[in-house]
Amino acid sequence: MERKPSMECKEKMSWSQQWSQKTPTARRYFFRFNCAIFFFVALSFVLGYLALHGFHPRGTIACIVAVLPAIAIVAALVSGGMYLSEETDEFQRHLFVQSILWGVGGIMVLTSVWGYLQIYTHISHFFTIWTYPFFLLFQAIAWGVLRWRNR
Amino acid sequence: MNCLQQNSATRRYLYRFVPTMTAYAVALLFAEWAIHRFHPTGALLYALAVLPAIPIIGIIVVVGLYLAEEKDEFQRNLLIQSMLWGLGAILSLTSVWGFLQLYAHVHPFQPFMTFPLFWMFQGIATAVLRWRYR
Repeated sequence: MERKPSMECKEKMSWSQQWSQKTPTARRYFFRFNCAIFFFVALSFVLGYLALHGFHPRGTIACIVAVLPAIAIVAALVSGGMYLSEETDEFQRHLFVQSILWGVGGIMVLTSVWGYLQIYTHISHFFTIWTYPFFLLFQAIAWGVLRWRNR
Repeated sequence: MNCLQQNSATRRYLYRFVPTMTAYAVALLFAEWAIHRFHPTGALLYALAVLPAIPIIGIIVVVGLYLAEEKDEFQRNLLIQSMLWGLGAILSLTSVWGFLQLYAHVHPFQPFMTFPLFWMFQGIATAVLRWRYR
């Protein structure tokens, strides 16, 4: 059988090249997602710094300040939803959905185990702000493992 | 239109989901009862505290199996969308609560509530999506 150029290209491609290969939809997703995460991290740092240095708003202002980082989280999740609706490569979409599922599973197990340990064994309180970063961590690990398995 | 499309994948999903959810409730009640009745310490206490979390892993596996088995792309998409909304809602709630805890000193959020609240939001999202696509 005569070797086609596309097959040659795939054979020559190393795993790291395959890893960094992104569809245009994935590139758009990463751009939107990174913007939202940058906003979330920046805001969390600023608000955390201010809280440590005596910024303790009350009433409506406290509520507005607390809602701001959540807007970034919603934006990051919307970017995920947009990616799922825009991605034409079914395999990539499947990988993404699987990684979300593992992320959900990871965060549910962590919060449940910690929650019950907190009630019954009096370990230190789980700070709820960490729920989203932990979800991202689990999702990223799952995504990496899935990509490695399907390399 | 039925609330749930009864194809074979959905039936299998329900056959797996209901016992796993029941196992979660039983494990939760058992852990609560055993801890209050016997006051265990050390490894046994940790094991009992972790017990209700085991069916949670089962539920995630059940959902993953359904997504892999469901042939109807619309139904699969509906579950994914509703889970994304549930996830968005629970992550927004925990983030807002976390910052309110930091700034307004509200009562600490109980982490074990994340799981039931996620399913509550997911259920609401499913109902809204089904109503939209009726």
